[in-house]
Amino acid sequence: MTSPIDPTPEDSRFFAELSALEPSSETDQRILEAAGFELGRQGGLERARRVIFQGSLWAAMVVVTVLVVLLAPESGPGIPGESSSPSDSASPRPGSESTTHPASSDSSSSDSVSSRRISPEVATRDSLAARVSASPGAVPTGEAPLAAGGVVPAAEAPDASWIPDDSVVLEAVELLSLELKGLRREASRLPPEERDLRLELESRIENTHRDLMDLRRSLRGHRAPADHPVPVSSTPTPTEDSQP
Amino acid sequence: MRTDRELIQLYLRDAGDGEEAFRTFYWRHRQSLYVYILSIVRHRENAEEVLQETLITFLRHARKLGSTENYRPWLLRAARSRSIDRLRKEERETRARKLRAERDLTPRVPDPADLAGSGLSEEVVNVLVQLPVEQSEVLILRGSVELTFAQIAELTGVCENTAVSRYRYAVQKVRDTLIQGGKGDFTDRSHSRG
Repeated sequence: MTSPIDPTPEDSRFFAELSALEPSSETDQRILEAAGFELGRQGGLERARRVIFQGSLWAAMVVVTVLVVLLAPESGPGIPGESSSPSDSASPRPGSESTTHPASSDSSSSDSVSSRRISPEVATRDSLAARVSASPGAVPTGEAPLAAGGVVPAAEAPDASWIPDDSVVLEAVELLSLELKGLRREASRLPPEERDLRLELESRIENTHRDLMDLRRSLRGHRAPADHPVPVSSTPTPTEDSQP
Repeated sequence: MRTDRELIQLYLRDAGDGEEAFRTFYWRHRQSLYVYILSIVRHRENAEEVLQETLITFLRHARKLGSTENYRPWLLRAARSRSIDRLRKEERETRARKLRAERDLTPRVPDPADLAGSGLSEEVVNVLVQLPVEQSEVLILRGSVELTFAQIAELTGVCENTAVSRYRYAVQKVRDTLIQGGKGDFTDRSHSRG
């Protein structure tokens, strides 16, 4: 017994007619043209994607290069290996009197410079203290040397050839400014009856102010502080001519 | 003879003979696809449009389809989906026209005139337009496209037994119609619900 789904002659005729069915030639043409167009479109898309990708890469490289150039640390004259920590710059170091050559900004002298890193405040104070202590009549006390004295003779001044670089001087300026501010604040809080203390404070304020001015002038003119006379008080300074 | 995969890869590489490779591929599948689409939409012009849409969609997705050896299942699925969408769209438009004109909600009965000029005999045309879409679809997939019932079941989303029974009913009606000279009784007018 045959299955109902087994083919019969009627089925064969039916399917034979159906197999003669075909789409029109216009439809064939449209489909083949669409295939060519799609190929060109996808090729164009691929090329466009490649161009955009390469362009983006180039743009990214340019941006990164510009950022690296802008954000790179300045490699100007300075003390290589100098630490930026506040403790280093603020702490006094023994033997900190400068004897190095002023032209020490290049790396060849970095070892000698870095081996005796001097805090700018101490360097300034030490040089000033040396000048003051070398002058006659100077009072050898902690803070007092700045309150006394006169002009340090040039022959006994510290090595005038040592000229700190701008970054050191800037740091010294900043420290002295802070100290000046602190002294002025302290003076303003003193009660009127503390006359002696007030006089001492005013003297220190004046000296600190002069030091600050000297440093600022040295920044502008790059002249060693030792070239400038540093009158630390208003009293007349003894000179050779005036000595008995 | 090159496989579908080889032909499409030649086409995608576009090494000079890409269009010729696609032409070979298209000629291999066009007739069976067309007949299958026609069995659903029952309208020659609509069937040609659906065929065109199916092939263009295939071209746009060819790169993503992977390196399968035979693209026929994908083509049939895409053709079916578009055919059913077109059929539903036609029915909606017909209903809307009738609502505006006669307030008649009778679903559209396929018109044998839609298959006029296709080269089919009047009897075969009558069979095609009168069969429910589910049955004509299975009839064509089995008889013209030559799929197995398992493949038909997978494509149409029914179980294999349902596919077999639909085919049986369709074949019976074809025989009855052709034996009786195109005057078969088609009482089941249910349209495809996808």
